[in-house]
Amino acid sequence: MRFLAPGWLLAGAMGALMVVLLHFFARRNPRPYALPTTRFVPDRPASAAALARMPSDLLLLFLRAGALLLLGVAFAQPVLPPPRHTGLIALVDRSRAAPPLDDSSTALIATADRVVEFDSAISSGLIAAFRTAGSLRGVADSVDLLVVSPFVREEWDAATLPIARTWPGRIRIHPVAARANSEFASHPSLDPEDPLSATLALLGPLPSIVRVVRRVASADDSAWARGGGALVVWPENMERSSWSRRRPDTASAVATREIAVVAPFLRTVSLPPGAVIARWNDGIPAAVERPLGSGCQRDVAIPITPVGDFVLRPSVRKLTRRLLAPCGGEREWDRVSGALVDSLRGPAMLASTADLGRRQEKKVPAQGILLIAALALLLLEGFLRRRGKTAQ
Amino acid sequence: MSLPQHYGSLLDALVGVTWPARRPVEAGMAGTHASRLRGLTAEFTEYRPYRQGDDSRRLDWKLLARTDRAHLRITDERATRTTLVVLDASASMAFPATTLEKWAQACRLAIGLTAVARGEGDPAGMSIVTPQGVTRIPPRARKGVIGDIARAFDGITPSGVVDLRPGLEGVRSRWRVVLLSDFLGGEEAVVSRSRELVIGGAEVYAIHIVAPAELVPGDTLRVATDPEEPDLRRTLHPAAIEEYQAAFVSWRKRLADGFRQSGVEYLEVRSNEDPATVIRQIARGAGQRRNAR
Repeated sequence: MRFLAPGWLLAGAMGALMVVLLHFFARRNPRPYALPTTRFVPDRPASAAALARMPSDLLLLFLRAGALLLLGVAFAQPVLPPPRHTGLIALVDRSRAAPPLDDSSTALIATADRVVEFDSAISSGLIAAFRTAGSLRGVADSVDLLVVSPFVREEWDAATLPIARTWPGRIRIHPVAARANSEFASHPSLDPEDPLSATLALLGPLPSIVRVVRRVASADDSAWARGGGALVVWPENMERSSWSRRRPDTASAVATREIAVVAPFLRTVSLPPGAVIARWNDGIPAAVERPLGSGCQRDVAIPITPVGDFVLRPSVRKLTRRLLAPCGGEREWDRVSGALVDSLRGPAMLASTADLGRRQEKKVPAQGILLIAALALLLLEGFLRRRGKTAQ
Repeated sequence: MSLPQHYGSLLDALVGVTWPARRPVEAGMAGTHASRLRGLTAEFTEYRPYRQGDDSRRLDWKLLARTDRAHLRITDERATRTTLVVLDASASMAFPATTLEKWAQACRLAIGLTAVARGEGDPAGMSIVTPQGVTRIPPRARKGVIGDIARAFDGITPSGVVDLRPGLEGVRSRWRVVLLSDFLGGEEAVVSRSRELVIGGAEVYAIHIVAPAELVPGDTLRVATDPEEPDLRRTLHPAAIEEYQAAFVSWRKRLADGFRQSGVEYLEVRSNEDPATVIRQIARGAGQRRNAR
């Protein structure tokens, strides 16, 4: 058992000692003596200090000293130390780059006391894991952190290592293979007469996880997207799309966060709700993306004019690259260098729960009982003292 | 504590002690005390010229024959004096608590005084004043009255608060009354009543019994409690002794003065004094002289 405020123990002991001393030096009433001529005795206070060899009122002494000791122990906040156990926190990558867990990973994670999942940056996952580690302070004396991830570039940011270094112990690395792009079947090629074909030709081959549909999306397309692909519905003829019509008007530009294309665009449809990828110059969404199973569907209402060099403009090519990016943006599924991953491991020892911020050790459940017992002793002491006075 | 059942040694020590009345007795049965009446006894006092109407049997015929003058022979009458001992059985008399010395002394004095009075042929009686009432043994001249008084003490333990005045009820003018008490409580009323009795012709003795422990309580630190007034609690410590003694002496002096100014024979007696000596002093009327010193 440990005490969070051991000073109170000393204070309680000192108080009890003072009580014992006071019982030796107590001001006590002298012995009663029946004297018929009492009325001639001058009226003075009927008590005097007297030093006794034995403490007086042993019962009251016990009650007073006991109450002070109990109060001291109660205020000292006794806590039970955490059991000798190493807690395991599994930080599991559930991002788009991580494939389904294999058997070895599943077996490792099954032994963990806490499982923390993340689907974006490793740094944010580490922060969540560190916070979760606090919950182990009452059940373990040390914590082991296991990171199960493919450690791809898109999850690694500048904050990853500084955050990892704040962990006071070791970080076990369990790398898994990143999801392979080849999991997705290549999309059917566009019509050579389609003006977008010229732009795509300038961009090079599309990632196999992106499928462009220049008409209404079929059930097969949707099923494909649910498997993790990015289905880009970019009708060649907007009026033949399934989107709601709007009064035709002209927008003068379309822009994403990084790219702007200035040209007259005829707007005839309104897009369904979703995360906006591009907007018209008046703020109306021009392209939206919404999740679809493990993948997404991206609706693009930007008409491609076959007239002039519109499709050949560099800005249009950049806009097209953005619109045909995989779900969530461009993918960087290359592994981070091994040296960088190794630097994530940190020191060799386990992290002690004592180092995980403010202690939240399990308080002794008897603390309230100690206070109640001390209060009961004080009440009993008062009762006995009052009864003693009455008896005198 | 049980009182001694036999007062033999005390009674033996009092054989021959007489207790004459301080003043002539007005009337009564023939006894040993001088009476104010002139009578036909053999104790000659004086001659008085014969006046018409005098009893011719009291003429001194021999003197008439020698001197031819008619004189009456005047003699003193002797009368008895009824003696009543009033005994205070209040809680203050049960002191010290372990020996009841004051109460024992009062009992011894009561027995001795009634024995002396009865030895002179006087009727002697006792009134023991207790919180429950007055235990009376009416004045009798018979010999067994001393035993009655001694037995009366057996069933009495001093306790509570008493007023001595009910014990004085029924006292007649020619009686001799002895108050045996420590007079701690209601003393002014007792002095007043005693004055009335003295004015009425009675002879009153106030025997004030004081324990040595009351005079010198010792220098041990204690809380003194009045047995007749439990709420009265005072600390008895060495620094307070002098003040206590001064107050006690002053009160005793006031009490003695009050009794004496009322015509009462006052005598302060220690509880450990020899009772025979005390009784002789009372009988000789030495109390007044001793206290006057």
